[in-house]
Amino acid sequence: MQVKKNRSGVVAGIMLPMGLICLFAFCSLALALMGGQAYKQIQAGVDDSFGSTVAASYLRTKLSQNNQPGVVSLRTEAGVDMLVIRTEGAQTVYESRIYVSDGRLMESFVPADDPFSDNGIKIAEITSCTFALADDGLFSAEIVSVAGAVTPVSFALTEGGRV
Amino acid sequence: MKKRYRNTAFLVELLVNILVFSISCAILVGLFGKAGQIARDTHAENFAGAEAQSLIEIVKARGVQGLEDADAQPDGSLLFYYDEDWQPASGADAAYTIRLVVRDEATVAGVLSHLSAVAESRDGAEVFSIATASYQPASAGGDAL
Repeated sequence: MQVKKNRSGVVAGIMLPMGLICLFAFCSLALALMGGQAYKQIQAGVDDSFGSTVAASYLRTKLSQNNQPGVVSLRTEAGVDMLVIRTEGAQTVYESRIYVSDGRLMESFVPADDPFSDNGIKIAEITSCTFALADDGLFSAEIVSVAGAVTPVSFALTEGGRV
Repeated sequence: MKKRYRNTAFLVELLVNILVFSISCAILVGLFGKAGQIARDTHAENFAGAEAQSLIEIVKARGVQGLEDADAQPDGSLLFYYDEDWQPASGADAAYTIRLVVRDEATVAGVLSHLSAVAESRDGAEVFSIATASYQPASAGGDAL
């Protein structure tokens, strides 16, 4: 009788609290893992869309700020396709050259007669960006994010953007 | 008697702790799910915005006839279908749609085109909307009054 009482005392006093503590620890671990997974997924989504969103917004802003005839053009120099935006200074004509180099959208602001050199500032991290300018003035770009998602950018340029 | 009372008190305390922890867990799991949903909605909103703005710019440059893969609706609007990754899709597979409405208004000097684009998910929830206008003078081909 005494042995039976002692055994039930062990179950109630040691095994049950230990079981509950183990359950508590397991649930804590599962919750922490679940939180980590959720954070990882959200961060991956943000990283994926951030670069292409920034690049698309930057291109749109640049084009709408410079939407005048003869200002926007496309050029290939030293094997690099670039979007060129001309700005006339008091004595010198400058160019903003927007191009992709080594997985980054870059911009350099240089005198128009300077040869191309890859020394621009970084705008966004993307995989690639292709530019096209149709005769009717529709500028279009396809931005491929680091994760491979494609973001289209189209912009209607005034009078075709050309002289 | 005293030992038994101590054991029971410990158990009750443990159970109360686990109850509090369970409630916190339930709240946190709900928040994780909500955070994931917000991230997905933001992603969809970004792509919807990019697509809708691009469609509007194409209409500004080329008119409605410049749009490809448009599904003309009886009410005069144009529907575009996209899958989960915002790539063009057929109507049956579409997770998102963009409805583009173009309404031309003849003015004395040309045509004022009112453009609106509304992106919706499959369940009809609005993801993104944009409205703008484009003026085409009569000298550039707009039909004046």
